[in-house]
Amino acid sequence: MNLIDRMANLDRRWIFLMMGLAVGIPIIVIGITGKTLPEEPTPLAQAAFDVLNDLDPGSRILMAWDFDPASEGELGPMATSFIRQCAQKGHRMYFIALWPVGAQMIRSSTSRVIGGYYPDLVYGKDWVDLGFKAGNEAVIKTIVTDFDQYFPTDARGTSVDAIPMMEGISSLADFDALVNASAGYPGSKEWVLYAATPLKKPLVIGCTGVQAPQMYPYVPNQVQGLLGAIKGAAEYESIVNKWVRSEQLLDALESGGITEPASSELAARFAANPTEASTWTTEAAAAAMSPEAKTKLIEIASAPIPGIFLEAQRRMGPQLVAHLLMIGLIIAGNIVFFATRRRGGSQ
Amino acid sequence: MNRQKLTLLSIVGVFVILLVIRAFMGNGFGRIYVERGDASFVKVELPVLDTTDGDVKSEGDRTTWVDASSDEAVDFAGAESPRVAWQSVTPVSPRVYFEATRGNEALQAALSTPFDATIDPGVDLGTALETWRLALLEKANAEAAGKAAPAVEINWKALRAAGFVRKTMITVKTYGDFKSTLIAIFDAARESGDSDAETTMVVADGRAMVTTTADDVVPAIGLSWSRTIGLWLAAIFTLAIFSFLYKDNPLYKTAESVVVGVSAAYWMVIGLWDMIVPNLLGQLFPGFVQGNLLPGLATADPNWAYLVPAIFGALLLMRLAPKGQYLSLWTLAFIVGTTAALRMVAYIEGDFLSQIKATIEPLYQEVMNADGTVNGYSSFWASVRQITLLIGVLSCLTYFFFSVEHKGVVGKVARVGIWFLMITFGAAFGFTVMGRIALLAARFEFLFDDWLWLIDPTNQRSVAAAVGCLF
Repeated sequence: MNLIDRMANLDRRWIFLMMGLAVGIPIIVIGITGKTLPEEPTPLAQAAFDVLNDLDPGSRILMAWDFDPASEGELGPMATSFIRQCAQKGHRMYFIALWPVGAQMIRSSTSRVIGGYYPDLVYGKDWVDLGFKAGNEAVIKTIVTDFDQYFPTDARGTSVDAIPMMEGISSLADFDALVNASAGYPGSKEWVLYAATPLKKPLVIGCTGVQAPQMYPYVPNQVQGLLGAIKGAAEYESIVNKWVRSEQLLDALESGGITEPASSELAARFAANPTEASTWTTEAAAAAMSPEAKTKLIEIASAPIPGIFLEAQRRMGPQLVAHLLMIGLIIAGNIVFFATRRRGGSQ
Repeated sequence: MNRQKLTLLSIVGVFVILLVIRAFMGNGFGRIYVERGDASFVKVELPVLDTTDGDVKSEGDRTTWVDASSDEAVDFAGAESPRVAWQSVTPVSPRVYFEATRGNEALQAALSTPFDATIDPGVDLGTALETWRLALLEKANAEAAGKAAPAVEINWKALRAAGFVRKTMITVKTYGDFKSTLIAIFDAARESGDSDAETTMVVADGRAMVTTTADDVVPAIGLSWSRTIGLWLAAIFTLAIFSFLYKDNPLYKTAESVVVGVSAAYWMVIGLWDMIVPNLLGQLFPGFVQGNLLPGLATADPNWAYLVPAIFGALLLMRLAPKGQYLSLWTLAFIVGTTAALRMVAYIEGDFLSQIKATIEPLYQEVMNADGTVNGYSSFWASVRQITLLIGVLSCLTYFFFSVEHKGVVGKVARVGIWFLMITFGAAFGFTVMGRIALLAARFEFLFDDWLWLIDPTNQRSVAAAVGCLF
């Protein structure tokens, strides 16, 4: 049996094993080295960031987590970055779920991001977990006009009347933007059809790869920002990481006595290239800063990004190797097909 | 036993051996640690204030449960207020446990070293204990060598309650190691006649606490068996599902059945507590629900309109009755009718009209720069996109227009439509593949990180622990 015959009759379990290794080995390598692939944001990911960034601090953002652990690998990093951007910007976050397990996803992502990195945010004033409601699109259709009817309490059983940030919320129209992380039905499409389109509200969507092609036609009129699959998550994650670093650097520069517009320009520069910060502190332009302020600036610029904010970028490594394997297999499959046909062995 | 089975058995055997070896390397693997604490809530009557017109006006009281340590509890709770207390459990990263363990070891080692600081004769108890504390802290930090941050605390609240006073003048007679020095300090205090209460020192959670034996100090950070078993079950079920890739087997079928059963039960419980209790029972019997099921629910008058959905819901359950199945059809008819109407309106507005509007755009798209000038590059590509969109829509519509035979111009246009469709399907397939690989990567990350502790991307255990377990 020659090579072509062996490949033509290859047990598919060898393909599974190869795919497992193609995904598993990069995970171990990236997990140990901490190196991720660089991400160049596309306009859609940038638009998703801009929608939330252009709103004033304190804006009300409805965050619908319509997914479950089965799609957490794709949507978890998006959810993490959405919360991080809103928390850093100072928006008020209202979490709801149309999937039963979405309530767990809310608890998981808020405890990881808010509990771990924004402990100063106060439950009930800066963010609230309104939990899961059954009814699919009927929930959206109802809260478009009457929010309290579906949400008399939060997920902890507290009456919404006793939650300060619920004051002034009577319908979806009272929110400044909608953010949805969706793995299927009910999800992104329902939020477009029943909420964003009739209310003309800005809507940012993070969805699974399976859903993404269905959502593109809604951009940009009905959906202002779209993150499709893990690639969209990785792009958005890199934008948010860079922006948060830039905000922290800006604070450090301004508290060190560097004023606008120089501070903004420097913060953007150091966020893009962290090594520049230590060089700049030795220059005459940094003379106004105290040694402590300089040390703090260098620390912020060179601090590693916490691992939970690199989840999507880490998963792009296995994507690359697995896609290369798949391309290789497609080419090999075609070669085998044509070689077999030439011999008249297969029609 | 045939060759295939032997190969499989060998792979499983090697995997199990590697697991056992891994369990004894570095810090082991697959454990979840928690920090236990006390949680206490108290029932209070909170005043409801109206400040809408600038003046503060009372609108009565609202009964609710608040954290016993909150400002509301301090201001409004009395001795007779109902209270509930339980043990809170918060997951902590293994790093916290490892650091606490290293801190304990450093403190224990430091306690056995000679006490080389000086406690002057005739010094007060507070100063003597502080001198001892600082000296021990210095020694413990040196022992920890930067791998932990041990703490030394004097529980003055407990000591005071037992009768020890800071200002008591003492003379410490003998010095030895830190342990015997502490005993000597308290012996001197007892000789001064302040208190004869027994004192102790507890080393736990990376800190040494000097207190009385009456004060019950228990380690707060420790292994959570229930969560650890949950983690192992998750890992075993993941492997059980993966085993289907080899071939269908009882392990896979078990995992599949468990998923179905657990999901059904979870949906039922969530549906009860998130919908039926607050949204139905809370509307029909608000007083009962507030008093017995959801204390945080606002009290209001019953809303009897909710009897209608309650009856419809009950009728739907008649599907289970052998003779009353037809009654469930009324509810189904209602669901079908309202859903059809809701969807029709939404799809006409959101899909049909909005998509037509988005398609009928000028073919030339002008993109402006920030300074108001036209960006030629962006305008060109935006226009290309719009033209492509129009061609795609028209050609795909032509392909699906079967009233005219697909020959000649119509056939060629339909052919273009097929190309557009194929490219769309290819893109959709590509997205799907990307999604599936991401899900596989997430599962592998769970196995390598949370379970096997082979990698540590979120710094839960420190890099040294991760590398130490590999080699």
